[in-house]
Amino acid sequence: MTKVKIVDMERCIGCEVCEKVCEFLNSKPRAKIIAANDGVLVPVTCLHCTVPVCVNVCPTGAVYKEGEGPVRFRRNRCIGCRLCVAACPFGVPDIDLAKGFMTKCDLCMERSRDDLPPACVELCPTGAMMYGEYEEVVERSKSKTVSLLTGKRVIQREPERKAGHRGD
Amino acid sequence: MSSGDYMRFSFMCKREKPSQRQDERVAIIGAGPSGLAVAGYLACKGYRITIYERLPFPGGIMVFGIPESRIPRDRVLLGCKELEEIFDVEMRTSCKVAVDGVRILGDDLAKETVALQKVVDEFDATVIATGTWNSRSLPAEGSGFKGIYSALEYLFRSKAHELGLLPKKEKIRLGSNVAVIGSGLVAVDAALEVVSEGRSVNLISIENGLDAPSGSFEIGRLKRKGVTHTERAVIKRVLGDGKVEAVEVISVSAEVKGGVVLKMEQIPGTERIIEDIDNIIVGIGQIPTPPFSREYQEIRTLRWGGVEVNGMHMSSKEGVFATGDVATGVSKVGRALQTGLKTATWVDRYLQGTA
Repeated sequence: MTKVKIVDMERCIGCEVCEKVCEFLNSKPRAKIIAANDGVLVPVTCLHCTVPVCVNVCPTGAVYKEGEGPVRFRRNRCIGCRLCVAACPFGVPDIDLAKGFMTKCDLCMERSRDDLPPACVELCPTGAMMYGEYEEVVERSKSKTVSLLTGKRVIQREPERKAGHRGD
Repeated sequence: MSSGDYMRFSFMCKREKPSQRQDERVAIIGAGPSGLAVAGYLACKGYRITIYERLPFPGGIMVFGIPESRIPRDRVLLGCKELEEIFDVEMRTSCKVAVDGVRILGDDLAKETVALQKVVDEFDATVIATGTWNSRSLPAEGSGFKGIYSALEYLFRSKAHELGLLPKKEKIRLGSNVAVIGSGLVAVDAALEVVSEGRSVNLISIENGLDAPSGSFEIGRLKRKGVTHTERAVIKRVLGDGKVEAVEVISVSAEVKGGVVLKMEQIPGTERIIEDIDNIIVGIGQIPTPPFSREYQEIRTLRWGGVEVNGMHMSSKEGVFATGDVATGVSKVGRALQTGLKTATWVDRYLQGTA
């Protein structure tokens, strides 16, 4: 039961809903729309890496990976050393200078206790935020590629059935 | 339906009826990004909510302005349906709330009008979230000629026709050569729509391809679709006999930062005429459209037309809040939604007496 979030850059229109909703909930946004110099807007947020370097460099164990799932942090252990900021290839972690500890996307940890998906996923107007079971999201991601190449919609396979077992 | 299939305005709580109900009733005027955010937040708190929307469908600019290729309308409409079905939000569509005599683009689709005062009296709190639906008109000689439309009106009419709300004869029919003025997202979206109708477009803007507020990617995409970009220029005069036939443009020198024109000066002697223009579509800015005019004494507006609000997002009238673009000025969907959420927290505190 590992849920993941992948951003579909093809669908994203840079409307900033993810950033602003995150800011509403967390006072400092953990997803941020960054404009490339040609005006293309890209939402930059934690990718919850399989091999998270921020976890590896953290000297106090404040940043941790939850099983196969999200990379989260314990603020009471954080000393604000910024090693995670330097190590992250995407520049995702952010030090909240007012509070003195690091903040980053934790896939809405508090909401997940109530079994609610992350807020950015819930409110994204375009559906660019793909969220769900790993297998399902990857499947959707692959279907998207096929749709792009062929210009046609893809028939969704039932997740349980495997190829060669259809119709029985 | 699973998560991520539609915009869940009620994201603050689960998809089930809230456990505690409040007796207070809240009216929201306008079902755009901001109004729906207020509705979703307060619905989770158990308030009894009525949304007044003058158009036949909720969604505001997300359904009636922004092209389907950017925001699929079903994602918005399903979110509104959830508000109605699970959270008992009353959605009064085709119902305009206004002080007499206020005219806003799209009003002709409203079937009934309710006086603002009546709504304010009837509800414990009222939230104005009516956006910026009127457009700045062309600051040039001949701007009253036939064949000139605002970009939002053009987009609105073609969307309304798509939704089966306007007969084909009321859709704006363009000639084969169209000048689109402006390089913001509204102008760019209008230009894309015009191109998709098979017309040729000349985009005229003060900004050049690099400093356009919509970004050089959008301008580049238009150019790849065959759009001519006349940059660093403004229209000085519209030529024709009561109807657009050609335009006289003049080059300008301009200082643009972050999509905002800081300084602009016309360069004398650079006037030239672009012949054979059938229509002009103007997308150079939106104007706030509160449900009352400037002469209305009860609620104060600011010089640029927005509703004056305090730190709680309450207007000069007790119990009446204003949120979204009508209070902050034109913004992206994200900011409008965020302002809505913040306003909702204040409405909640106001009604609970903890503000």
